[in-house]
Amino acid sequence: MTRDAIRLRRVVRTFGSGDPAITALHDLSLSFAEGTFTAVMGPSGSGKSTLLQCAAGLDRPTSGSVLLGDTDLTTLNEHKLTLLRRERIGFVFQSFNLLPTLTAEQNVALPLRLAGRRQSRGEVRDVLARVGLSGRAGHRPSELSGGQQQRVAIARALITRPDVLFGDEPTGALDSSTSREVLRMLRGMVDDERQTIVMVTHDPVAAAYADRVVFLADGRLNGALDAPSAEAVANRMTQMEQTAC
Amino acid sequence: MLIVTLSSLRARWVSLVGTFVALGLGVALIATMGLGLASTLAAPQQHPERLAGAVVVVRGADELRVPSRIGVRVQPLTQPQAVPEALAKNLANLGTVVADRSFPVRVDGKDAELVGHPWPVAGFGGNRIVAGHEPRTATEIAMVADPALVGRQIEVRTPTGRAVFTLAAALAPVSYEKAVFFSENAAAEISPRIDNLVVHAPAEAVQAAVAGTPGIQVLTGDDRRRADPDPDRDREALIAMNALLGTAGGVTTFVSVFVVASTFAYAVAQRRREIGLMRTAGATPRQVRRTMLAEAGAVGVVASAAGCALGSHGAPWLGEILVDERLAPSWFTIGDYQWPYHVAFWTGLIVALAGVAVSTVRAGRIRPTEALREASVDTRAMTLGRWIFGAGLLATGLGMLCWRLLSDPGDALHRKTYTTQPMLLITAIALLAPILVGPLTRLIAWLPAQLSGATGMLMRENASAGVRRTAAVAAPVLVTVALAGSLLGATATINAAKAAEIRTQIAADLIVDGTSLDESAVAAVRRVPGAKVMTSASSALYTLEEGVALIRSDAQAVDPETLAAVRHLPVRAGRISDLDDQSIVVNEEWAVHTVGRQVTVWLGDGTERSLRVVAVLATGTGSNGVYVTGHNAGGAVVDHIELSWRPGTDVSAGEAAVRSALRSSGAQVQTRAEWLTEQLPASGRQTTVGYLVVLGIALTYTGIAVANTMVMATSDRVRDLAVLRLAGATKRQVLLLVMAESLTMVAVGAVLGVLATLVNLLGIWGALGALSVWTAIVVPWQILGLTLVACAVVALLATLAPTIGAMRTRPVELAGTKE
Repeated sequence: MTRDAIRLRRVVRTFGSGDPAITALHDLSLSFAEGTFTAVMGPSGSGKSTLLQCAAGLDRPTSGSVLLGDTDLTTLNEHKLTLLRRERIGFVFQSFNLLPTLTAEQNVALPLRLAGRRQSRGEVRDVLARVGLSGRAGHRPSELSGGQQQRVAIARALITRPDVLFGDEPTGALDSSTSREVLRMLRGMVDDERQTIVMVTHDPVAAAYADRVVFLADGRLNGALDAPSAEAVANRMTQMEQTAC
Repeated sequence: MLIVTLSSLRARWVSLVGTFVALGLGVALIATMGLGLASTLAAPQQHPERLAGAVVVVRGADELRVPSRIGVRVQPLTQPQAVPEALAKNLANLGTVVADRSFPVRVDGKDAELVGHPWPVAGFGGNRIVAGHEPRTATEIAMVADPALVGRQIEVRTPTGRAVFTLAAALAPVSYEKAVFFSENAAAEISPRIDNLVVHAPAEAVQAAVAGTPGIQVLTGDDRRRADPDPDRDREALIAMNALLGTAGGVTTFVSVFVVASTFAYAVAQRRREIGLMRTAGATPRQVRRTMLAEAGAVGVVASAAGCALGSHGAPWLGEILVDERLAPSWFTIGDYQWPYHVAFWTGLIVALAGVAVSTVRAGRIRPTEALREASVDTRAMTLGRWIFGAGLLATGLGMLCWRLLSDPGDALHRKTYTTQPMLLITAIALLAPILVGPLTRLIAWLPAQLSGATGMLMRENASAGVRRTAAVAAPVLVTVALAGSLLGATATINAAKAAEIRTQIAADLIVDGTSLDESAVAAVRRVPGAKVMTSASSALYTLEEGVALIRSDAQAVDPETLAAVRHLPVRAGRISDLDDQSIVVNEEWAVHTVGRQVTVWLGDGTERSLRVVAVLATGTGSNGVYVTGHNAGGAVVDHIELSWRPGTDVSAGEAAVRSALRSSGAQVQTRAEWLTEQLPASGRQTTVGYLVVLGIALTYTGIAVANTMVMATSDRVRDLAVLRLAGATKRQVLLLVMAESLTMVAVGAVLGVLATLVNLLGIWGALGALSVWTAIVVPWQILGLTLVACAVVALLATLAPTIGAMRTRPVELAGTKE
């Protein structure tokens, strides 16, 4: 039996207060097993991104708890949360969010430097090599293609050897062949190094790289698919959208 | 998308306020200084005081009038001529005449020098007896005193010597002078010369009677003020003010133009992304330019108008400060003038538009695709315009500096020169700054970047990649530091040179200063055994240069035999010992400075003489005057004695003898060391305070500009900082980083500013050297340090406030996780 890397318990997240308050997550409980690749899917406004941000400690649930291993993220203050995020969580965005003034290598090394850890050059090179960017270490983001920038972002997320790597539509800004490369790379990390990955996507093809797909609708869990195929995911999505109408 | 729009609106709001503040305050400054300057141009008419009660006053010539090919040139004489005795007798036939004489008087127990007059003129100036009666005998006097003292015996020193007088009357004080009145005959005996003659006769008749005597003036109405102690007192007070405010106006206008142009240009550079988006949406470069110019025009009009309104309140305030600091006469007020507002308004508007126009040419060229790329790395911050103007100004500045060194080094020591010279260099360096910013930041951040932490690395990379931002923030720091350093350094260096010059020239052991040392006192000093005595009388000489310019030079009428014993003068040609009653020692400032040449001069009393040049002195720091003998003093009396001891003299006995000989004269006897110390604060209080006012105002403005650009620059970085936080930086780390970054930018500005300062001071030093005054460069490190600390504090506050504000929002929102 594998352990859960991250567990959400009865998580509620409301935006705004009073009458027109919008509830993005309705009493959601969900867990992600260690060493697995999970895709989170759902129509727009289903709360996918909110779920991911709450799970990654970027946002705080209105109520409920988020457990990373044995640590409850909701009990930590902002400073401790930042430190924990830096040490144990990796996050990749659709917009790559690299610092434009730093080179690829400097961007990757940033979390280690922020943590005040002495990083070896080799360590950074290794991670860059893992994402296939050995030759691009000295380039600034503006000199890299979208796929390369996203791979730098992934390398940066991986440099601290995080417990969980979150991706918020990491392939959303990439063309299909580049996104296939990135997804194949992510799949490889799960298979070879038992990296836990949670990824929000709306692309059934991307979701098909995952071990498991969970579906979200109106902030509630709406079923799951194990070892999904792209067609099955697409059918399920179409079905959900029709129900919604 | 909404979040992106909102955050870009927020950034726009900050840059809008930033440009508004910079322009509004700049225009307010120009308007304030303009109003102040305009108010110094017109002095109120000064009315006659001392002889106000007389209808017609005849006065000896007090102006030198020399015909030249461009008309009669006029200079006031240092020693006005007397009314000839014969003429006075003649005028007595027309009606009653009252002779007015003035002579220095010293009364025991009073430090101040008083003026003696005959009693009959007292009534014209509103002098009123409080107790006692007018002076009737030769031993009676009247003066402002406690009525209880009437009848007392008082020791009084006049040009004829020391005597005991009886206080016959106590007078009520008058505002324009402190006088002692003698009986008519006593006054005539003390000072035979008639300075003014009040004639009780019609002005036309008097006019006709004096027609034959050249130079004699018949004063009526307001002209009678020429007989007052300081007829041009108010106008002279304004001349100094005019110079001060002129400099202040020049400096503040420069600073305002500089800050406004760079702020507006930076505001456009900041909107690169927005411009790119406009271009993506189909705007042509022309449309982009027009939109930007229209916006700048709107902001410019409103801000300039606000600045003018602010200036109208600021000017009276400036006036009060100037009066409080005694830089301006107490009656000084700010008048109602239109032109300063026009100058300020249009300067502000045009500079704002020009700043934007230059930047929009570049902005219009932004390709639509660039909007989608990150704009924080300035790959080409140096534009062609920057190269052309920067290099041009630098070449002009350095060229003028060199040219001046070769042709007219004395010019470099003039206030107008050393206040404008830095402006050229500062602007040049600010324009060329982007070239220097990169290497400089890498240098400054080299050490911190070696540390394992992220701050050093980020600081170096951000500051050197954001060249434009660094240059924009460094610019006001550069101006602040360079102006403070150059102006104060220039005056300090010149003062040090003057002090050094005096120190090398003055070799006397004992120096005596008095206003008028009478012959008996001088003779007594000459009799002191072992003393080599040189007496000197301060006067002036006038020459007509190039046939058009009537130039006044300070002149000292000295004893030629002992001059060399007490002064080491920098002789370039000829021999000082050749000086006699038919010759003159000139300096290289004079148009004629060839030994053996004859030169036509007018003495302090207007007498024309032809003198032979026997020696030529080096110019030195300038305005050091020329030397003649007592024969050519033009009536000036000895007011200064220098003496040195022959070897083997009993110095202490000699010094005691000199002091006792002069005890009753009220003259100040000082040793060389004492005298030099007293000369040291060579720059007057007015200059010092004046500079503080000038610099204070300009520096406050640049301080605000530092804060302003800092806030603008930080608002630009909200997204970067959010990304950094997403990468795992704690709030503390972000704060540390922005603080380190602003300090780096301030340091860059400071280094550039010190660079500009040093170039300027080197120019002054070189000029002094060319004038053969070698001195150390005085860099006002203390003021520079204070200025820097102030800049750093302002910059830190201006960075921290918006950063802390921005960090209240969750980084995910600011970074825009999705486009």
